[in-house]
Amino acid sequence: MSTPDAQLGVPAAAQLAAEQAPAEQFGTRANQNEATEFGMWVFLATELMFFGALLLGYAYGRHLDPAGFAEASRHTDLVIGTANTAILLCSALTMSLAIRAAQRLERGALMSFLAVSALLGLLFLALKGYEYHDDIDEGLVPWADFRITGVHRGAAAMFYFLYYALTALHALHLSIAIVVVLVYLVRLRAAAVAPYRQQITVAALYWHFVDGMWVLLYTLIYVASPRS
Amino acid sequence: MNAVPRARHHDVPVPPEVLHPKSYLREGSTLWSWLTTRDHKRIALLYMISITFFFFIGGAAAGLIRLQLMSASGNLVNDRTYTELFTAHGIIMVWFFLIPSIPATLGNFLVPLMIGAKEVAFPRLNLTSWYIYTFGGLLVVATLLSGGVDTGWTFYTPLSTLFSNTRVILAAAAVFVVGFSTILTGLNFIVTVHRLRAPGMGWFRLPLFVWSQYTTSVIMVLATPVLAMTLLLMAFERLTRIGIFDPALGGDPLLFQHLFWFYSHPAVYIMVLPAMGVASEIIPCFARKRVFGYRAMAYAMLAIGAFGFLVWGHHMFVSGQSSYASEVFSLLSFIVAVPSAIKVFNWTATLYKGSIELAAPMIYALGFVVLFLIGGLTGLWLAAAALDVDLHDTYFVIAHFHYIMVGGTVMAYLGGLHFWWPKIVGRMYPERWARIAAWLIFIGFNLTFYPQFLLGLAGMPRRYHHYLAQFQLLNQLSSTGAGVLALGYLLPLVYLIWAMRRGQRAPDNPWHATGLEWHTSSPPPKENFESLPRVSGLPYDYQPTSIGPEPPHPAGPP
Amino acid sequence: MASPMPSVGAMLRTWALMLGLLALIAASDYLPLGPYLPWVQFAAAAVIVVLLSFFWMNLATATAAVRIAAFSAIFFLLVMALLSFNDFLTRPMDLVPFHAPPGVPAPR
Repeated sequence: MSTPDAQLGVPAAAQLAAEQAPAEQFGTRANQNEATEFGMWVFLATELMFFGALLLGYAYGRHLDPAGFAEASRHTDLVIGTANTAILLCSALTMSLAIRAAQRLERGALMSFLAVSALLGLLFLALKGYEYHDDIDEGLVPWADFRITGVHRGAAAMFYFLYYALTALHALHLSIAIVVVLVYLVRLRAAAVAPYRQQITVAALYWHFVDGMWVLLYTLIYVASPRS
Repeated sequence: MNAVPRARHHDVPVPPEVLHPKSYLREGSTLWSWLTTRDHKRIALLYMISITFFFFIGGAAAGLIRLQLMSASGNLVNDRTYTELFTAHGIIMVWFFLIPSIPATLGNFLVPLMIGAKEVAFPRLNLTSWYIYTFGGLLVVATLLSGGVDTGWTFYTPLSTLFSNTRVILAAAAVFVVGFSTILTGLNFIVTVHRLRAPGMGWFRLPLFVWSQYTTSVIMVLATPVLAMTLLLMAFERLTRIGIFDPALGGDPLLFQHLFWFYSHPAVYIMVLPAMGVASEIIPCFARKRVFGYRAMAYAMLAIGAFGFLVWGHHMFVSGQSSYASEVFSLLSFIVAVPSAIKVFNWTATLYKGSIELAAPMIYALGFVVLFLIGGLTGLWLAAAALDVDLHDTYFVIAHFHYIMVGGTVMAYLGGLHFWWPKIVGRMYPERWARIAAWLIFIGFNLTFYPQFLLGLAGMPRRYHHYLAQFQLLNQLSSTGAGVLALGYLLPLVYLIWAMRRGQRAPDNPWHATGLEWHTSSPPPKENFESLPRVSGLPYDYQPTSIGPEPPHPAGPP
Repeated sequence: MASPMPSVGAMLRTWALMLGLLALIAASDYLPLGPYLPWVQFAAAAVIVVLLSFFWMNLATATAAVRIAAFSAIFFLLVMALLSFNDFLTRPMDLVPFHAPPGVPAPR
């Protein structure tokens, strides 16, 4: 596969030579790189199926009582949800810029973009926490004094059950992604980019998966009903 | 009795060393060296020890069940204990023995050897998966010690969420945890097969065992997470009384069943596909013939893996699922019989005009084919929706899936253990004892489970701790068979361990088999091969003795 | 090494497009889309995910194996949904809650 390495200058080439030797089972560094990337994709396939069970539950509930799901969706906080989606899309951009910097072995840019991505992730989590707080205040917790009553109560309760399950699971994934990014930031403080370049590229795949999953969740949760 | 089964064309002199000087077994002998190993061969042995432990725990539960059913009135245990016994039997046998059985032991040991790799792709992940398995195992033991669980291995809601007052959450946690070890094993195998094949080892030069492991891994990776999430939801619903399965809360118990069987039917193929892989290695070797229809065999496995995802609804014909859905699932279930039949046909065709030797691994492999055939054909009965309404929840179903899972998978697992035991420990097992055990298992198995077909047809329901007097004779036959079966399982436990120290030293290739694993020492060195193998031919390059000497090995030094 | 990332300009354009689509999804609740509402939303979300995976996760230039891994999960999710809905859509389902037998705690 073509790499941008050819465009790199001589000092960078020296750095590359310091890239770790491949683990013995892989034979070559290129093979190890492709294997780890492929392994991450297989893992992401697993992750998608993991969310899949919840998504089927959502589809079931929305099919069972579309009006109930619409009513429940109207109680979600569209502003925070949209802001959070925008934040994650920005973090996806900065993460992509970080990969680009890693490929070009630009250590300063890489660390900045990683740091910004992590901060955006933390901002997302903070807003999400605030939103949970609001939800609880507004009686949107189906197992404690649920606010929505009447014929749609069942479906609305199911909606909020899935809302908490999906968003909490997503927040857990994002937290893991943030921790991974922070670990690489710490490691890069005292190291060259080259040894970590492939690992960061693979970790970024996970980050992007978490972002993409959120876009899907946003569409399912926040905008399931006309609000006009 | 300790003789190597008659060597055919040339007597390979047994190497004088006790063990090959560079054997992986000699890379450290402390417990710590085993618990921190990254060597796929050692991890395979760790798994082997763990699953053997759980096999005998699950077997003990089965033994108690069969003892209870010796008499129609059933006085050994009460109803609740009986329910907990068959639940423990199911959970342990399915998730702690059958699913990891062949992949985590033989697969871990053999996949890198068969494709000419030095290791699996992610050795640390491999060890992690064993630790996760062990943690799950501790949870299941804790479940048993703290009183057990009575939902059946299926955890059906609302029984599990509303009515059961046993250790449902602990048991579900055990299954949840062990699922991740399965996923990591599958992920590792997929990447290993894709990226670590030796030079010249194209996809259609892979041994069928590797194909079976690959397909199984795909199922593991795609199906297991769904089960994990389903159990998580079930546990959450049980804790908070809010959720998506309880009809009182607006949910649907059939949603649980759809999700559960979306995993658990493909899980049957996780159990039986590796067994097919083992049979596909043993049968050509002991028939001295190239496997019939190699590509069809590989494609059939992929097809079984894919179609396996489409048929889960045949577990739900009497659940209240719409009759239209039942028809569709019934049709799809018939389709999955086609690739299965291709495999049975091809094994049989491989035997045709072969020089068949009924050595112990071959007895196991042929036993597998016969029992799988019976299990598969009765599966067609159960896939027919109308007939299933009559047979559902009877002993017919029990007999059917035990023919696949025990008759099929356990037979093949034991056959594979015997076949590769010389490679794994560097010593031969006692052939005569092995043949005795193979026949005992085959006879004991049929005696145990064939009567259950008759019981099911006569209408005896499953899951009861006592039954009508007219069923007693067949039940006693079945329980007697279980005794024979238990003896058959204990024998290999004894003589295989005995063979580790006392067996005759094994040559590198005792069976004159093809396949890269036979072109390294027995046991292999830590890095598997002295020099990286290079593959230049198709697998299964066997020729019947009547035709002429065998061609040179497909693999040689680079 | 993974395929080279797109240029900064291309990334910024992709990002702007994503934010635009997000705005469309957010605004769709206030637009008179009638029964087409979910389809517009899902299509916009799908485009964002495709942009993200194809260009920033390099799925567009990935090896066949990687693409098979990504699409097999989507394929089997669809199988799960299709065959489950094969049941849900063909059996009567109503909103009247199931009445628990006596002695069973009522939902809170």
